[in-house]
Amino acid sequence: MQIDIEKIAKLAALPLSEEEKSTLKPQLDQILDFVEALKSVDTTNIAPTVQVTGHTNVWRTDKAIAGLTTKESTMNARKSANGLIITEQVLSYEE
Amino acid sequence: MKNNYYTLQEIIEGYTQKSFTPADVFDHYYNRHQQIEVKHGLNSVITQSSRETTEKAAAKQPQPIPIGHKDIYSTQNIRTTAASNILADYIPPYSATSVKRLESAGLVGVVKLNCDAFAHGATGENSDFGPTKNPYALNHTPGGSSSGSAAAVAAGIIPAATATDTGGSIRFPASLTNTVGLKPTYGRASRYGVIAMTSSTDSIGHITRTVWDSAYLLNITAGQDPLDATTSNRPTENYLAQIEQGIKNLRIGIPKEYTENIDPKIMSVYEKALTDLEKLGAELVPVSLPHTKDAISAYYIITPSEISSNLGRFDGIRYGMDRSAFGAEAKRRIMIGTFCLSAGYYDAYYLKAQQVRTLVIQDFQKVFEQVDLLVTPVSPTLTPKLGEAINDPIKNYMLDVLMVTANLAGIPGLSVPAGFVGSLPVGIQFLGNHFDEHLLFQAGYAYEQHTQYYQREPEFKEI
Repeated sequence: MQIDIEKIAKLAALPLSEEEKSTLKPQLDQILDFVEALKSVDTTNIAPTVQVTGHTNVWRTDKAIAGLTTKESTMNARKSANGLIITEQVLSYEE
Repeated sequence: MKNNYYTLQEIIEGYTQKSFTPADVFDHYYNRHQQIEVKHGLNSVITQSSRETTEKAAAKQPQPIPIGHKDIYSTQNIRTTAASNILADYIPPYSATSVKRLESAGLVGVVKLNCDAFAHGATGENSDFGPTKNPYALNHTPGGSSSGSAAAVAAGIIPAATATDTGGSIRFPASLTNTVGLKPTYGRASRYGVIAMTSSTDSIGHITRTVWDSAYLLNITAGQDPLDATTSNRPTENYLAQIEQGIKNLRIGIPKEYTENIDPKIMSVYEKALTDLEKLGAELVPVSLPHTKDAISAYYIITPSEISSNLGRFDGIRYGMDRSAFGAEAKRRIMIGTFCLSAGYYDAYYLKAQQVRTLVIQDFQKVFEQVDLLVTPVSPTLTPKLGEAINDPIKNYMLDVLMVTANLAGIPGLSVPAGFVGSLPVGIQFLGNHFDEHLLFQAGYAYEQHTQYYQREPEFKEI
């Protein structure tokens, strides 16, 4: 199985150098071959397991409780001001 | 304090007998850190709290004992890196539930312990802070991903350490360092505040010198947490209550798939362990877990898939460096995971792996109708030398082949010292049904007290 490195790196929002791409490609192809073994396992009528707790919806009382303060929640941001975290522009506007 | 090594039980007893004071205990471990961690370049510690911080925290407790936390456990106002450059300067504004529960019980965190970055690995060599050395053989790995936790406990730098096990990351390093590693049932202890790797398999546990110590810590960390919706509401029990009961007439299964392709030297240790268990009165029963070999493939689809989702939060905006700072193994797993979850491939990979997971679970359900526990080897090979497994991702993955089934099924496992091949420790693991940790401790304790392997101290040499 061959992986489309450019496409997957874009989906994963993972910046990769050209060198990384060329090192990664054979490693990823090898790992995918390793897991190909699963194709031969008969899973007819077998339901997938998503989680092993057996829980369904876990509820709590709808009561407001204290969380992090503004200072605490911005203290690790690379760029912040006025209690806000500064990000790159996400939407662009065409004139 | 005259000895080099103490168990939690011995420290608690020492406080009761007034043989030493908290200052004595914290001085002892501070000196061990200087003498061993620093002198031998063990590299088990990423961050050491200042003596002032430690003394303040210890002063709040009547009988404080130092403990180490794997550096994926959030510790409020103490740098938490996940051993990755991504979080090299991250300071959590809150502590993990397990950290808080342990602190309330007197266990004061003094060091943040090295591990594979984001817990991705089986040898500790994926750490962005350098690999950790095995105290029993300094040119060998201590196993991973909880490499620092295992090495620090084995070296007597701390008496116990928290750790996590997603695919063997507690049991594997414990078995390579002559220590006891507990992977509790999934949902037995809260994952809140522990940096997530694979949300459906991550298990919060610990590494200790003895089985008693392990049960003592589970008494503290086990229990439902409203902050972790996957924790069980099943009442907790006193895991020490039946620990000395012994294993007479306990039915212990020997799964044949776990003894294929194992190094013959490890098989000798394992077979000797089986004879010891029989002497102690257990009934050994051959059993089969037919989907064992499929489990590793399923694991290496499910794991990177969930990793790719969990590492999506590291955007370099709210915290941490930008995504180019991820190490090679994290990048590999993000890429594989993104691929397996992508449109057109999800059914063939992730969904298929989840179906195989169901088959693995069914294997265990059938077997636990016949036996109370299972006992298996932990590692198929002896401890790798540093540098041996790191350049070959698949070789690294295969180290976990006997470990991952327990994580896929969510069942508990306890790895205990089982002897040595030369200087290299070898462990065995007990696996139990969901929430049967008390049986694991019963078997582990009986075996440990009979064999006393934990008493053999590391020599801090290369071999």
